[in-house]
Amino acid sequence: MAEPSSSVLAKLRPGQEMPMVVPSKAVANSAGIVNLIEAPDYCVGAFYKNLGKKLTYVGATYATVNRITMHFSYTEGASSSLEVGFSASGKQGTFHGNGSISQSTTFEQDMPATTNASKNWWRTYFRYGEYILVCSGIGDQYWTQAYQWDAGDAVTHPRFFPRTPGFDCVGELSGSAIKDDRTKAASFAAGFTLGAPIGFTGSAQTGWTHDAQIDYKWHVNGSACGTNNEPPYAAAIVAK
Amino acid sequence: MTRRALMLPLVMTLAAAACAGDPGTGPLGPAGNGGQQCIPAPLGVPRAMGDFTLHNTGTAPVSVNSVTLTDPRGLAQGKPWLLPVIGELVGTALWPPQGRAWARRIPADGAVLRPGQALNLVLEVRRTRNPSGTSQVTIDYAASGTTYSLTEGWSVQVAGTCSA
Repeated sequence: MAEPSSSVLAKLRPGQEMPMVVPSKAVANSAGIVNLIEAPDYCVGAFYKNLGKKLTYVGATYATVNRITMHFSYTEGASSSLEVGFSASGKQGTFHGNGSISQSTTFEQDMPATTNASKNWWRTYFRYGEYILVCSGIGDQYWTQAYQWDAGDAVTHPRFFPRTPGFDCVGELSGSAIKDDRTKAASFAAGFTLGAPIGFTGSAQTGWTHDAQIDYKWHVNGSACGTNNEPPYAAAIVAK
Repeated sequence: MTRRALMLPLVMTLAAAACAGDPGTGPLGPAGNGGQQCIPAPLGVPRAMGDFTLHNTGTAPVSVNSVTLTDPRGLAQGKPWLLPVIGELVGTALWPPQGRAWARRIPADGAVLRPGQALNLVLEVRRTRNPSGTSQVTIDYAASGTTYSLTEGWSVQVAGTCSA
């Protein structure tokens, strides 16, 4: 049985049932029996449980020295690709990642600007739900997904700066600024965590299809360093 | 309208695109992210913009034909240069840049990059109007008899004051 496509998942809202798929034809065997158990193409999916709003990582800014202004904007239309978790039993800890679903902003969420040396992983709220899929001939299946962006902002500070080789750094005059409109602003392997009764940690990628914006401004002579390439091509920038 | 009538313009468009001979992505790779590098400078005063690296990822030499500002609105450029990568790239700097890499610069126009070679592209830019000028950068080059045009996603801005 195929799992529901992300386009179907994206349209499913709390309280709403998925369209039923009725077999277009059923052929009886030689005994005249139609075996629906071997034809699991009759499925009903429904919202099962509201898991509430969860903080989810959407962006990162880094400065190793003071006097650099950094600002992350989760701009209107920006989107995050959030992993979907599936489980055959629905029991805690049995969900595994399989595909993702995109959730977009409906207005701009500005994260606070920072001017001191800092490592910042920015988060915002998404609402998550648990869904159930009942198919003929197959046991129930469960999945979890974000169904709505809920705005808000929060920040955590990772222990380490990303590594940045010197040849991926460019000089920055005092007064210089970078605006980084990324198609892939940030990627977090552990982007969000759904605790009990789900027990699933999913990945999150921001700006996969739409832009988020990161601004840096140097108030001293310094450098912009890419984490995996020069700044115009890098996945993330560290200001030095 | 029939399905055939609907399909015909699409087929013609695709055929025209094929005939136009778009060579696709060349050995200098695809354009980078969208974004902007702003450099502070008084009106008419030159600055160095050296954020880009030209990296020949192919197996044949690359000949740089020209490096130009794509749509220079209020910006003027000087002669473009290629520098060896020694430590960090020039990025934004007063004009002319200093250091060992600058001492070993070669003109970008007509330069040849060996397979695997990476050189730092440095442009002299100045704004010609207030409050600022902005443009992307286009590199026209050839490799193995095919010409390519690469317009970087990252644009250049020169302003009296760069906004954060």
